[in-house]
Amino acid sequence: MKGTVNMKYSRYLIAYFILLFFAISIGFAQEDVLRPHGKKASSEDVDWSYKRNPFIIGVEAGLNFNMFSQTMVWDPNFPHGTVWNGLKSANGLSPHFGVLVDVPINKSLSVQFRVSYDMKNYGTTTNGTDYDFNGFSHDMNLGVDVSSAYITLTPLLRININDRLFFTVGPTFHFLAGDMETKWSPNSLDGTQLNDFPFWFRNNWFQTGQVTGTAVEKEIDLDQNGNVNLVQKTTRVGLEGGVGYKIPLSKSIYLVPQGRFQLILTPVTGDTHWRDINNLNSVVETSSKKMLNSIQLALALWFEI
Amino acid sequence: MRKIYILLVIFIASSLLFAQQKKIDIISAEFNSSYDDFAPSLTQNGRLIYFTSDRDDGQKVYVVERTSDGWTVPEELKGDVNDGEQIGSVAVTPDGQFMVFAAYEAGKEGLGRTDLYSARRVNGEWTDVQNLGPNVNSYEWDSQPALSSDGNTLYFASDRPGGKGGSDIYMCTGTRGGWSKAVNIGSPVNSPSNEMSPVIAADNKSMTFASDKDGGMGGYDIYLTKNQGGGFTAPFNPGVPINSASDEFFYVAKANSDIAYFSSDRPGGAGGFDIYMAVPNPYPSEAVVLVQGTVQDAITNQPLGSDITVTDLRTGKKVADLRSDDVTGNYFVVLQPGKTYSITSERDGYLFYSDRYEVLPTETGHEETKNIYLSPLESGNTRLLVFFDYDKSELKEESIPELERVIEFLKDNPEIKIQIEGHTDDVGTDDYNNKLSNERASSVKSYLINAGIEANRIKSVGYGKKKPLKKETTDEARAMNRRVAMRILK
Repeated sequence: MKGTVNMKYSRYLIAYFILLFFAISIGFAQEDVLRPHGKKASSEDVDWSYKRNPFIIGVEAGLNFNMFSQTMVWDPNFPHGTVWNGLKSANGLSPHFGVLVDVPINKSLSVQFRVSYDMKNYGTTTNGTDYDFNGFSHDMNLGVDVSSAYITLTPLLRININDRLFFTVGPTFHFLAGDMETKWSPNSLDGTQLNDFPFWFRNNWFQTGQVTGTAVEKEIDLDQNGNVNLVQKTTRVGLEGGVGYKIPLSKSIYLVPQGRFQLILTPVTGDTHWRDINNLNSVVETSSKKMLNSIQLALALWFEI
Repeated sequence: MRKIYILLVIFIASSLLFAQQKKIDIISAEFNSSYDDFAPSLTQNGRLIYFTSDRDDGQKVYVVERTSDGWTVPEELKGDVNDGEQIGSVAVTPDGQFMVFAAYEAGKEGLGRTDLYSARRVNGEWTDVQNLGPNVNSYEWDSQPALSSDGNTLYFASDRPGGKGGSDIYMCTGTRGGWSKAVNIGSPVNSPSNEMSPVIAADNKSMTFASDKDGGMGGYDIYLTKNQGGGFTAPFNPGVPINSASDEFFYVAKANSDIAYFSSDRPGGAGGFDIYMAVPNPYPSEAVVLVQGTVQDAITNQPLGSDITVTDLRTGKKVADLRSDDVTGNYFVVLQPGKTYSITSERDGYLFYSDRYEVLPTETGHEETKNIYLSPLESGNTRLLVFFDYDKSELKEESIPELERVIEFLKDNPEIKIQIEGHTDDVGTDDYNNKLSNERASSVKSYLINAGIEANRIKSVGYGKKKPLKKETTDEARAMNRRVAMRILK
């Protein structure tokens, strides 16, 4: 399974290197006094000095489209309803805010450092069935919403394609700000009380007679001794590739819409286990490979200094 | 007999055919490199060629000089012009004292992408680099300037929005002090394709440009058009051997010559774009008169840099502002036939010079040397001002620009006092001529006083026929003697 995961990342990495190569290839076509769209590249006339590339500071805000996925493996001898299958993936929108500094290396390349307050919220709502203590199946609706926020540090290589268009590529480092919290919202569709179900038999959450409700908890795991551990990953590492376009507002101020993809290599939490309440040694379900990637759309103001 | 007619017709047809197939040699310039060399700009009628080359770390401006031994080795232009990135496509006025060039960044920030900048030649160096500003430049690519021979009209290429499509040719007018808002010169020159590399010939009518529009020979081709009273004629593709399946740009016809220069990346060159000569130029511009000379100190013969103004005396319009070289004193101006000009030279510390210059309609296609001697601003130095018709003391219309220069001179030098001296020819009695010369001097004095010059700074005197400029008694000599001159009193 681990090998499969590595292959999946390898494909992404290859895709990014192709993107980088493409960007660099186009980057050679810089404008000059004869050609508004630049000279076609040849191996002999690579010249990065074509471009004006001033020092930049900027602020930005935008939306994250977060895409969560995980692998859920159940004990085949333990009956579970279909409502849980909806937890294999989730997505959501959340904002981010950032500041950046862009330091030129040469006329076509620069290094950009961006620091963001990066909210990563996602969730899912699913209809399905679940079994009660007596093994009877009931219709359920389950909503799950996860909220978290990171301080994200992104050192990037910015590649200017021309005076307006650029690509960015680089690693991302995410530092969890606060705890990850999950809001569970089960809803029995046939009036069965929530504490009739083994997974909702939590007296501190749902009382007798309650058929719908919400509960918030941190990302935890239960070990065989009944100890509860916080499993959220406080530091995550990823890769980011993006494209942006500079729209001049004045001589040295630009409005810069950007689109990016963040491939996060570190899972959002460690693996979690659901255990038989009557026998904690028995793992009923294991959730692993909890990956969270994002598409970011950002609108920035860049100030050339 | 019938056979003879047939043979005669064949002979005439063959002669006409061969006459039209005049061989045009395409010769690669000896200063080409294996890199791009393009955009030749000729000054002093081709003695100097400024061009662009990326032979050494990006595009820069180079200059070569034609000597008796051929072309010198190209030198990268010294001074502030080449201080930046992707510099070139320079347009230099014929006198070689003012240029407009394109640069991605010319040492200072532009308005966006490639912009147009100007520079002046001061003490032998190109300096005073100025962005031409938002009237000319846009946030887009603005490049490939061309200047009319009088330096008053600027053409250039730009891919700014709002054009006909791709890059178009734009025009603005002005002086070295500022340019009017650039306007798209429109159809039939511009099209939905790309139009670039405008070049306006010395006659200020014939224009060439490059376009990649359909119907050409491949890539960018040279097209020819002519400005006829504000509008351009339908562009004409001259075909081979000027155009080829490769790209051709910057077709520059040397004035009064059978040589044209252009740039092409056709196979067989030195590499990249090369500068070629087309000899004989199949499409020469209209012939003009090229006046050149040296401005010198009248006492020491030291070469002087001075501001030179050329005025069309019929319209009173200033047609050229130029400057003689600070080091060599050389100046160069292109005049159109069928006009009468006054050429004025001014420099601080010197009495201004001006002379009338008539270019007859038939008097084209030649060069004339006219040296200018400036007298230091010292007491006793005289300056010929105006001429009069026989037995008249009324100022002639054509004398007004000269008197306006005197007014300007006196306003610029408020400490100067002058004596206006009237003269006559040798016809008539002494008494009559004394009176007439006094009246002529008074006419000039009154004009100056009416223009705001204090009366106590002007003394007038009539010398009658006592001080002739020419001793002869011909009509021409007498006309020269019917004059008023100005003497510096200090």
